[in-house]
Amino acid sequence: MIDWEIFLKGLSLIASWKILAFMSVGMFLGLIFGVIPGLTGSLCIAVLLPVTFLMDALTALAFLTAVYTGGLTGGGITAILINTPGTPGAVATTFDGYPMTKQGMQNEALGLQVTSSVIGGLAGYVFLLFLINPLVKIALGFGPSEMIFLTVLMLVIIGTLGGRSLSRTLMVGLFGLLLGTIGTSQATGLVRGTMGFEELEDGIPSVALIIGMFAIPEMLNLITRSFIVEADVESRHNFRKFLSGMRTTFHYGRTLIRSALTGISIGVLPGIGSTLGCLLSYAQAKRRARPDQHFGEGEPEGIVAAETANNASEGGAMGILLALGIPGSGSTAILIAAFMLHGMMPGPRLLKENGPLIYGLIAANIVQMFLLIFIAVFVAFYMGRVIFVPTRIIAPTLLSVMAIGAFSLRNLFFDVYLLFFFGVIAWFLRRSEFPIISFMIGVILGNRLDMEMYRYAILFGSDYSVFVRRPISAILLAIILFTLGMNIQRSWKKRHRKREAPEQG
Amino acid sequence: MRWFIKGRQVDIDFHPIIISSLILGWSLYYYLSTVSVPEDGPKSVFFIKPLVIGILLCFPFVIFSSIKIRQIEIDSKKPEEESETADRGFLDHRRIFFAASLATYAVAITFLGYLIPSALFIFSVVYYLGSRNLWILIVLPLGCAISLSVIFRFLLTVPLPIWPSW
Repeated sequence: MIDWEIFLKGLSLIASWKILAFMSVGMFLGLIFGVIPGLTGSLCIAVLLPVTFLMDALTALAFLTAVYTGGLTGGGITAILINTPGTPGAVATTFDGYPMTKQGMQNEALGLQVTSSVIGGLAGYVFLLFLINPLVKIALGFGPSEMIFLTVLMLVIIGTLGGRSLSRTLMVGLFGLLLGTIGTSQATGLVRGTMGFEELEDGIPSVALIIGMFAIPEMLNLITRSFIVEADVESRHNFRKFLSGMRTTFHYGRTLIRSALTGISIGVLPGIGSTLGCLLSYAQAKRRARPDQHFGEGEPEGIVAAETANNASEGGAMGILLALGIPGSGSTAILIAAFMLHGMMPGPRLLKENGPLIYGLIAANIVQMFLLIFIAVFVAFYMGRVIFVPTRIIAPTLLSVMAIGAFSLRNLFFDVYLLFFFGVIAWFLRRSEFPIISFMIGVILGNRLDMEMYRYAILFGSDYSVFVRRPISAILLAIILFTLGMNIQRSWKKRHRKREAPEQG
Repeated sequence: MRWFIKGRQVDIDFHPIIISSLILGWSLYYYLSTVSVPEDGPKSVFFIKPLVIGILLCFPFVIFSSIKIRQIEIDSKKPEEESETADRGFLDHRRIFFAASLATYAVAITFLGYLIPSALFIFSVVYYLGSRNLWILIVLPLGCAISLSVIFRFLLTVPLPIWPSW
C-alpha cells in the first residue's frame, strides 16, 4: 500500500531543522487563531499564505498544515475554559469540557483534549499514509463524467447534510464553476467573461479570491463587537493534573478507535466534516455510556470522543484533497491555493509527479502531532488571555497583511481590488445563507472541468449517454439522485407535519 | 419583509432574491456574450451552457425558499419590535465605515504606495471603532505598516511600491 522507496525519500526531505522550526511557528499561530473564537485556522492560513512565497513547496505546505492542525486543536481550548468553541469543530467539546472546568478540573480536561487531539490527528494521517495510494489509483480512473458528478455530489452533500437550502447551495456552486471558467478558454483560445479587464485573461486569481472570501466576511462580523469574548478565563494551571488528564485518555481505548474512524470517514464529507464528525462521535459515545457515566456533566469520555474525531477528520479531508483535488473545508480550499502558488495542482497526478513531496508532507504531519502536545500545553496555560485582544486592532491589521499578500501573488493592485470586492460579496452571500464552501469548490474546479468537458466533446461528441454508461459515473449519479430524493422526502414530511400541527392545535 | 394577508403571515427575505437575480443576470450575460462570438463562441460554451441552465433551474427554488407563509392567530398580528441589539446587517455604521475604508485603501495604495495608506487605514479604523489610546493610535499603525513593508519588500523581495509613485 505504501511505496516505501518514495516514502523514505519523503522522510529525508523533512529531516531538516528549518521545517521543524516552521512547523512549530505555524502550529503556535494556528493554535492562537483557533483559540480566539471568530478567528479560525482557515483565516490564519489565508493570512500567512503570502509569507510562504520564498519557502520551498514542502516547507510551505508543512508550515500551513501545521497552522491547520493548530487551528483545529485550539478551538477545543476555549471550548473547555470559557464554554465558547474557538472553531465549529469544537462544539461537542463544550458539552463536557466546560462542566469539568466548573468543577475545577480544567487542567485534566485540557490534558484529555490535547491527548485525544494528538491521537485523532495521528490516526488520520496514518490512515492517509496507507490509503493515499489506493485512493489515487481509484481517482486515476476518473474521467470528465466522474469528475463532474463528483463535484455535483459534493454540492448536494453540502446542501443536504449541512442543513442549508439545497437550491442555494447548488446555485452558488454552479456560479462558482462559471466564475472558474472566466478567462482564456484552454480549448479554443477564446477570451470569455473578462468584462474588458485584461487582468482576468488568465482567469480569476483564485488565491486572492479565496483569501478575500474567507477573511473579509469574518472581519466585517468581528468589528461589530468590541471584544471577541467577554467571559473570564480560568487561569489556574497545574501541570501534574494536566498529565493525569493525559493518562486518563488511554482508559478509553475503544472510544479512541471508534471516534478516530468516525472522524476519518466523516472528514471526507465537504463543508461539514469536522463539525459533524465530532457531534456524531460524541453521540455514539453517549449512546454506549454506562449507567455511572454522566455525559453533559463533565464526563471525560465526552471530550475524548469529540476531540479525537475532530482531529481525525483532518486526515480524511486531506485524503480527498490530495487524491481528488477537491477541498472539503475552508482550510483545505486555502491549502489548494498554497499548492497552486507553488506550481502544483492537487489531484490524482500529484502523487505520481511529486511522490516524495506528498509522502514528506504526510510524514511532516505525523511529526506535527508530537509537537502539538508541547505547543498546545504552552498556549492553553500561558496564552489564554490572547482572546481579549480588541477586535478594532485585529481587523485592520489582518486586512493590511492580506492586501499585501494579494498584491504579492502577481504584483498587481488589481488583485487587491478583487480581494476586497469578493470579500464584500462573500459577506452578502453568507448572510443570505449561500454556503461559501460550495462556491469555492466551484471556482477551484471550474477551469479544470471546462477542459475535461471539452475533452469529452472531442471523444464522444454530443453523446451524453456516456455519462451513465461508465460504472463509477452511474454509481455517483445514483448516489446524487438518492440523496436528492431523500432530501425532497424529508422536506415534504417536514412541511406535512407543519401543516398537520395547526390543525391538531 | 413581513406582510399580513388574510390571517396569514408572509415573510419575504429579499437578500437571496436579489443575490440570485444578480447571479442569474450575470450568468446569462456571460453565456450570451460568449456564444455570440463568431466561430469559436458556440464551441467555448460547451461547459458553460449546462451551468447556466442549472442556475436557471435553481432560481425559482431560491425564490420559493425565500418566502415563508404561516397561519397566524388574530391577536398576534402586531409585528415584533426590533430589539436594540439586533444585527442591522450591512447598514451597521461600523460595517459601512469599514467597507468604505477598504475601498479607499485599495485605491489609495495604487497611487500612494503601501506605507502611508496602510498606516492611515489602520489608524482610521482603530479610531472609528473607539480607541482613544494614543499609544495604540500611533504606534500600532506605524509599527504595523513599517514592519510589513520591510518584511515583504526586503525579506520576501516582493516589488511592493512603498512610497507614492510621483
